[in-house]
Amino acid sequence: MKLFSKNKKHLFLSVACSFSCLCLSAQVDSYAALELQQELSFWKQGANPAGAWLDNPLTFSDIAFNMDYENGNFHRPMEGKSIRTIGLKTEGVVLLKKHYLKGFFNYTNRNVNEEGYNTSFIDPYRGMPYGVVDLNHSDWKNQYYDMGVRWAYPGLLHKWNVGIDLNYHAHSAAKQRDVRADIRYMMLEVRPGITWSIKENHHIGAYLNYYSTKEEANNMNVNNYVSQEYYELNGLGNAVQGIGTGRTTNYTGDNFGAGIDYSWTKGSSELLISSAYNLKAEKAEASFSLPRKVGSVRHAIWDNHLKFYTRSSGNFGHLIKLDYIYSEIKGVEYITQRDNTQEQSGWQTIYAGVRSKYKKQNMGINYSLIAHRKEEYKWLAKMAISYLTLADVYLIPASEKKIDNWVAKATFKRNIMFSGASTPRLLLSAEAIVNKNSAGSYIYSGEHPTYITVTEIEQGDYNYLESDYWGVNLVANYSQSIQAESNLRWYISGYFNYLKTDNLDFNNRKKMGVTVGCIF
Amino acid sequence: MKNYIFSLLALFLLQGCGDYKDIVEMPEFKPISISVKGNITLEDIQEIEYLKVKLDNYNENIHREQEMDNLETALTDLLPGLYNITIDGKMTTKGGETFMLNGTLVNYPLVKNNEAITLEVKESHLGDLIFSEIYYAGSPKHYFRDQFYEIYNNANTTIYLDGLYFANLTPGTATNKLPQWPQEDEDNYCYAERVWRFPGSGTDYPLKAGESCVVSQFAANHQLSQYNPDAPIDCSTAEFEFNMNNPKFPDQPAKDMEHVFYNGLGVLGRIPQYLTSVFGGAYVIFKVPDGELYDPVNNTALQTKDLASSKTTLYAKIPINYVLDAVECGHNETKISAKRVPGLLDSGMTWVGNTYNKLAVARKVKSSRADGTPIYQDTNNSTDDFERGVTPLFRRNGEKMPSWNHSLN
Repeated sequence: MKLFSKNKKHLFLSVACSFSCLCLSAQVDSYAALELQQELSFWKQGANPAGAWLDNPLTFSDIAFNMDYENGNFHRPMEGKSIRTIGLKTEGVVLLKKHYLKGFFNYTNRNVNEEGYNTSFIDPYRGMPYGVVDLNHSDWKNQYYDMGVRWAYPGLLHKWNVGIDLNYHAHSAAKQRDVRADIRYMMLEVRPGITWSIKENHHIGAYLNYYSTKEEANNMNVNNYVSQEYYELNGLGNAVQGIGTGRTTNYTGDNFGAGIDYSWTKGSSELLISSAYNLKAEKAEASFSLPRKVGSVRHAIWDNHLKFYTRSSGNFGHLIKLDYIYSEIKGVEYITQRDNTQEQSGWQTIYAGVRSKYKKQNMGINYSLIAHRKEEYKWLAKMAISYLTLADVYLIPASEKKIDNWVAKATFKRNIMFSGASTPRLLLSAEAIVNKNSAGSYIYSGEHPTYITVTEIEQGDYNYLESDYWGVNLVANYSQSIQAESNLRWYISGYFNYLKTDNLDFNNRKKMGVTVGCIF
Repeated sequence: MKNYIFSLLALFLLQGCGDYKDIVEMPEFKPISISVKGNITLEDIQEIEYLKVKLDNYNENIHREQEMDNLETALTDLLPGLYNITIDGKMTTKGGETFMLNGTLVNYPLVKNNEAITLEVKESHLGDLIFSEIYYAGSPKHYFRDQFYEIYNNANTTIYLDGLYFANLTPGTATNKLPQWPQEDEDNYCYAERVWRFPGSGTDYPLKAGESCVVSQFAANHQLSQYNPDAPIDCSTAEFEFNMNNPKFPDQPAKDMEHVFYNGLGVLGRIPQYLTSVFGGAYVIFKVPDGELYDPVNNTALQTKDLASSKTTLYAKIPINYVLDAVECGHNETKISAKRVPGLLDSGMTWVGNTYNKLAVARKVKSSRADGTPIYQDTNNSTDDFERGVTPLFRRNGEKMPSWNHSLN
């Protein structure tokens, strides 16, 4: 975590923040226009940085402060009972002759109230099963710094575009109750890409992706007189019980990936097909002084997307998206033995093997009908259906957790234009969501079925995931130019999100927030 | 400078790639098969009544037991892991004597398929004098002076406590970082932090069959307001105590144990109490054979340092053939990988699961005598032999109090 010294880190933050706001001219007429431009910039949404020029990019800057609050008992066991968030988000694109430069910087501060069990991760559901949990629900104070730049350069030998993404994430979290946890996370990502224009309206692209992650979780007790009961997780409820202060766990991972893209445009129609494969290996070791391997994961993700947009005669546009994401994690366990001979060579790994697998597939189809009004839209209607399936297994002794869920969403947005030189707009959005569970099971056949890792953490998670629920999401966004003819436009938006389940173990989850920002 | 940076980068990538490749190509966990053979070198065997092998993997909670046929057996479908492998048996000599047989491998890595394992099986002396209950965890709030050890005569004859020894072994708290002992010691010793001796001139403290005595850290009524009303036990009727001459916790009517050894010296030292780990220690009672002298203070051959440590602390060697009973306690079953007691003395470990929880371990009753006193189970495996997490209680199973207990006079 000491990749940057404190001063260098602050310098990097300052540069990233400044760059993301350093834009000379804005071309965005309204918040809805910015949103639509983002939605129809297929390459910009994708992972290939070299495709930035193929979208006819706009220059803009967006800076916003947000405050959010959520509460309610409909949440996963290792999520907070309530969460207060404040954040700063900035993003900007600038075109310096033929250099496309995009930057973003986000800062988020989360105060989590009564998060359960977790003592090892900033995000306990990030796909690493080898953590530590204890019995005490605790408040957490978390901070997130996320930043990155994208550079793209077009027209090499008339047909080639090149680009690169550099992203850096630094997160920290502190658990406020014994067993305490002081956790630091960092991720450094580099993604070089290239596109080749076969013809004027046919483009193919390819990119490589590498990122390195490190998460360091230091456990301790402030009250040394009370030894805490904790559990070292092995997956799906299997755990080893311990007493004391937990452990220091060091997670280090490397990801190598590659992706390809193809796009076609004709008139006002555009198609983008993209596919990417990433393979990450991450190991978890206990202790720095004498490391002991406790587990590792092999995480493969196959990511496929198709996006098609066409504008019919009149002012209607049709946007179709198809998504298929396949994720498989293989959990490796190690049998280790400490060398207590004269050599004292530390912990020896005497056996290792894959002992658990976690598969997730997500298929989705999404259709939007857009009523255009110049650069923005007048209204937008969207329908989305997705199918999510989870299949987690522990091989020996066999345990399983399986979930099949259908999710349907319907969204309607209305962009109301008021008269006035400052071009005021009120963007209203209403979304309804229904989640229906079609199948599911959690069968634990391992040892110690009365451990909380089984009865509360895994069973509680299964109860959450197999819950049918419905919800609404209401958003209102008001924006206007700061004065007539000004490129600076401020906005304020608020949202209210409500999820209600029929599952008697839970009730609901509410989330609301307000954002104030400006685009220029 | 540039070369230096590239070299570092290459080293980093190579290291990363090595782990990456290992993880990505990792095969699945597969069950294995093994064969276990007992090697008995004892002479004069008339008949082996039975011989069975027991495999215990405490991390996975796997326990397998199987009869051996002709000193050998095969076990299949085993999960790779660290196992305690024990052979137990019973034999009769041509002279008509009956002996128990025992062979043990502690924390043996069973990871190779079709491995043939041979255990040396020796005659095993089951203790007549045994620990029947141990309370080490202490009570809320961080009160530890109520620790006690109950010792029971499981034999049919009277045993004199006079001159027997009590010791706690090192490391005091179970840890995977085990000490390094002199190679020439082989497996013939266990190693004590502090050694005590029962008082008496030879026949002062008889313990009849079915009687037990209690040795307390501090033999007071702990439930009094000046101590800890939340303590689970009144130790004022204990027969013995470890008196450390602490004026805040003055000498009680119980007889004082005689201090023998601590860090190479015979004096008590500056520690104000004899506290053994509230996580669970390892305890032995032992008897020096007639005609032998045990003096670890003056006989430096009976002292050693931990060769893996830079500390100069001296520990007392105890020949394992002196040991009458040994019990190893730890945090929980996962600490069996950190065993410090030789498997021949105690092939298991017992625990209460937490500290200051007012819970003790008590030996399981196997049967009882006509007078109602218990006969306790003693298989040299404290995991099997002890009930875990019981409320501390003196003489819970009808053991008798010796007539010389101070509270009877």
